[in-house]
Amino acid sequence: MKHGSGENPTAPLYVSRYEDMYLNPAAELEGIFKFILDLEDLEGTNVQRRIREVVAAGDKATQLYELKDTTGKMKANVDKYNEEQVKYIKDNFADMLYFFGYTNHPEQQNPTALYQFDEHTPENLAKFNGFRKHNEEAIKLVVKGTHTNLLPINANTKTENFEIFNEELVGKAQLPGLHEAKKSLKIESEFTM
Amino acid sequence: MPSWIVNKFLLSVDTAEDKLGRPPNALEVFVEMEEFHGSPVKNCFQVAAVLCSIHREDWLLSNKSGYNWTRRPQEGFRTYSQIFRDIYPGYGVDSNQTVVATTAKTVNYEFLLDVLRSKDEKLMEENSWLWDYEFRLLDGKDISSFENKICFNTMPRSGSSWLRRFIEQITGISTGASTSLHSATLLQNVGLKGEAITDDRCFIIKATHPMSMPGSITFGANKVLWLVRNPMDVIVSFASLMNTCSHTHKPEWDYAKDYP
Repeated sequence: MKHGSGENPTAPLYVSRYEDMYLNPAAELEGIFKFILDLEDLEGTNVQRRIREVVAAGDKATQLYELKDTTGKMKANVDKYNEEQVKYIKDNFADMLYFFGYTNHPEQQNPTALYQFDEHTPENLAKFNGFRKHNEEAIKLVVKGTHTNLLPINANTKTENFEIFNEELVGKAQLPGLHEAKKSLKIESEFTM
Repeated sequence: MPSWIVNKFLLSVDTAEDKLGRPPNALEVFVEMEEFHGSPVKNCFQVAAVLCSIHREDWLLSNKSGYNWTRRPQEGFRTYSQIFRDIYPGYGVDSNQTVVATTAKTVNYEFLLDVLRSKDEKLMEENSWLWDYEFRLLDGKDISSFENKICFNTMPRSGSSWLRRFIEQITGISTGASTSLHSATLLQNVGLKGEAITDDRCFIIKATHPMSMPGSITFGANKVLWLVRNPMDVIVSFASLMNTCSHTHKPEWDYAKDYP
């Protein structure tokens, strides 16, 4: 989140959520294109006409490949996690879950409340849906044009990138698939993680 | 690529297909190679990368989903050249095997911005060719003075291809991507023309920055568009990708039940 804010501001950042693209694609795309085209308001513009045409055309117009039956369904994967795994995510990433609006809220309905917290700290509540405020600021910045004074982002450079999956982890994560491949090829093996 | 590596892969595809009675997927090729022929690579992603490279030489055929591989011509399987000719008339590949316009029309970036920002509906009607689903490339003129190169960052399996196609439908222009063709060939094969393009043929470039991806192309951008997805769904979807090496194929087995 250092982009466009903080002590060492770099290129402005707009956050879009996958879930919003499903729940309200027209509104989400309007926000994205305000940011892309440096426009405060899209009312009456050709890009707004295109957004409406594309959204009205439905899913098939934007589908590149066959989707899985769980794609876009909220809470379709809840049963894939045990209590301990859900607790791990809540304990370690609560601030981000609140910031991106993936938690319940004591006073607001939230269709993307995938993680339920019984108690809410004031710090976490203050972060709730924080990305939306961040996006408003990002649009203001690009409309003003002052973002051109900021440092550009240098994508994929060694100094800025970090490894999420090392070789050992990749190998471990693929063990189920490899075990299934062995079964297909009738190679006897015992599965161990 | 050394012929001894290519030959091991081709042999493994053949012997796995003999055993299975159908073209194998990347994981089956890897297992077959490890068990019987000696594998020169360490994991399935490397296998998929080599399979894509061999496919780009037209020595391997792939099906529509890019999930299965064969050397034997059969229904539903095509070479890279056959796929390319079918989906990209008017385009060719450059020395890096990225897509370039040969006879196809390209679009000037300044003109595009004028049309999209304008409230003049007539301008849109006069230029309706922009939205004929070809998803053109920009004309390649230097666009740095606009300071509007956009880095579109996502964690894999967050819906980036889906949002890219929305953006392409709205602008009429292909989005680029910084992922190497070693893993992005299959996306190029389903119509994402801008795979491995970060230059001024495109102005919105998909990346996984700051996550390291081997072979990713470096580029500078003035803005960042970040697509996020909740961890509950992205973890499951990423596990599917890891265990199928396919963007579309859902495993027949269930992680929670079969591999708790």
